Amino acid sequence: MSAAAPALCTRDLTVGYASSRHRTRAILERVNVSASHGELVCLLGPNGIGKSTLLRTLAAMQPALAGRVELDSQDTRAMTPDELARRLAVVLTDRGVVDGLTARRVVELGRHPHIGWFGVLRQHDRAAVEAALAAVGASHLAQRETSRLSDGERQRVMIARALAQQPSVLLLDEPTAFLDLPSRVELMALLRDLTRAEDVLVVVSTHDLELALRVADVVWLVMPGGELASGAPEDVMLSGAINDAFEGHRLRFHVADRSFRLLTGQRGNAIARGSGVRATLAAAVLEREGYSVVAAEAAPLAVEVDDAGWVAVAGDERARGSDFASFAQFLRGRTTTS
Amino acid sequence: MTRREAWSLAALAAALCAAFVLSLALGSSAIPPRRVFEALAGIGGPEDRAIIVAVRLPRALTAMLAGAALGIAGLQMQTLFRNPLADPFALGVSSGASLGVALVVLGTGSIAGIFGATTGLAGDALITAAAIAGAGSVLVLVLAVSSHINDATVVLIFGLMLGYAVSACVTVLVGASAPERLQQWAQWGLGSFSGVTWSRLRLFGAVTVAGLAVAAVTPKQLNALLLGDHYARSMGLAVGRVRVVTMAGASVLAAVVTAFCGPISFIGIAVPHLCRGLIGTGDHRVAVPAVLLMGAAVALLAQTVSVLPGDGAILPLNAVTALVGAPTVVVVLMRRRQQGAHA
Repeated sequence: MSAAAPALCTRDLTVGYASSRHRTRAILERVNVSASHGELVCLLGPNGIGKSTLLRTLAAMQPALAGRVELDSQDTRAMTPDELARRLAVVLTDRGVVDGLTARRVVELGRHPHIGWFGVLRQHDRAAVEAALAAVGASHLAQRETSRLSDGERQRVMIARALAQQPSVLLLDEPTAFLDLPSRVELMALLRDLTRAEDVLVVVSTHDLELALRVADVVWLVMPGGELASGAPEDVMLSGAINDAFEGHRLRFHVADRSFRLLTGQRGNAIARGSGVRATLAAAVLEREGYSVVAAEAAPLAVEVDDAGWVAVAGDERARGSDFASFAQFLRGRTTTS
Repeated sequence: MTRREAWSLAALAAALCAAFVLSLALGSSAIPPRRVFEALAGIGGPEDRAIIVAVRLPRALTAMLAGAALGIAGLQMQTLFRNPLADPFALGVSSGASLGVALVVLGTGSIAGIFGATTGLAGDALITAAAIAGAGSVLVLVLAVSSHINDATVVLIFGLMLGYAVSACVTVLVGASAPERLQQWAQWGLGSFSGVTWSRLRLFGAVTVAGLAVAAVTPKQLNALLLGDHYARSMGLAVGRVRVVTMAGASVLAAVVTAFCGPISFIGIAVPHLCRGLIGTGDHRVAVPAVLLMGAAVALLAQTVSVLPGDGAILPLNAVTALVGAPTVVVVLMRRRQQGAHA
């Protein structure tokens, strides 16, 4: 496997826009990444940093300012549009709504690079369409009008359309943007299943960093300087690159629980004691209210939680309550008095 | 093709045949269908043959060609602009063609030419070419605006206003240089299928069929454009080339109809929508033949209705098409509002 050519790789790829004949504005420079068939790659980074531009350049929908993109070691610039479309398909942020087209007809559009001039679908074309619908679990939607589908259903149909191109690389630009939380998780799980079942390389840009870190095989993280950090999610987390990428935001990424936490005011150290999930939740309340939860023996504030509720000790001051709401209220009350 | 689509196409073909016979039977005097067939077969009385073969047959063929042409041009423009209300008339393309016609007519001093009386093949060819140039110019202009303004309604209103402005220019032009022709010109503006005689039909038919052929051989390409330029390109379509070819085809169709029949409204906008409603899909592999059939049938019916008063009196063609077309546009707008609400 390791000897096989990467499904997609870039060589000193610089992406950006040519504002006039001689002036160009590079957004990402000298990007060198590669990914293999059967992998799920999540492209991450703050808004407006060039994720979409990179995806469009990878898809040859806009020209690279320098360097090149290779699919199975072949330069995409040397491919005819049809040839490229048979290897690489995209799901864009454009809402795929067409008046009067059923989901099946939309998926059939994906056969475009495979069929002849007059658009006649043969037996294997129809089979590919049905397989694509089945792969995204949308077979039951085939007869429905696309304008009558929910956002999540429509997004699955657009992915089926891309799969009908039978590509070896599938690029998706923020496919979860308009979806509610369960649909987002479902869609990412679907993409992960597709990489395994269809042996395609899926590159997906997303804002759902925490979700991406859980499902991706590889993350490409766009850094503020315009370079790209890539690696297994765990390696990228360990390197501290995520905090560098989102520097300036009022967030801090915690590797231990793979999630962001709000950076609130600094109100000193606190200890949360207790068993299991209660102690974790007490720590969460403390952090939200601006305390740093430490694992020390002693701290200016200590809280102990058990079945009966919480008891907080701060110097001579003692307080107790039965739920986290009263605990949070106690913490907020301390701000105003001290 | 689904069962519904197949049945719809069959029904449209049958409706077209019926409309064809009806348009031959009705006119200043009604002729029963049996005598219509006899006249067509060349065995009827000389009087019937004179009316049907010399007058009504070329008129019916002209209506069929013009209706198909306007319907197809409307379909192409609706796909090209991704705008359900686009059509040659609404976007000012027909007005552009009128300007071309007016310039030639005034330049050569024979306004009668547009009614088919005096100009020969060369005159017709000149007028057609001028109409194509005018139509193409307006379409390029509207397309340029639409590439900067990503709002279907604004583009549409721009097209409408451009059309009004160009029409006003034409009227002023005619009024200033040949005031005695103004009424004749206004009448031309109402549209008519009656000005195309057998001899003129050859050029009109050839150009129209060529324009229709462009749409007939590009359903796959038009389908790819349904999802927008980006998706079309990602599926391997040479978007720029397809746009140019489709624009050229639509311009030729709109222009040749305007040159020979006057600026005819509403068929271009209404027929594609009526077809989608009937066949239940926007897929061009079905929509193109459906629009061909329905455009021809609707134009024939409009022509027939316009001569219903009998005794040589006629209703203006554009009044008849507007009676069908305006409600269709309103329904389309209402339906879009509903869809927009839950989108």
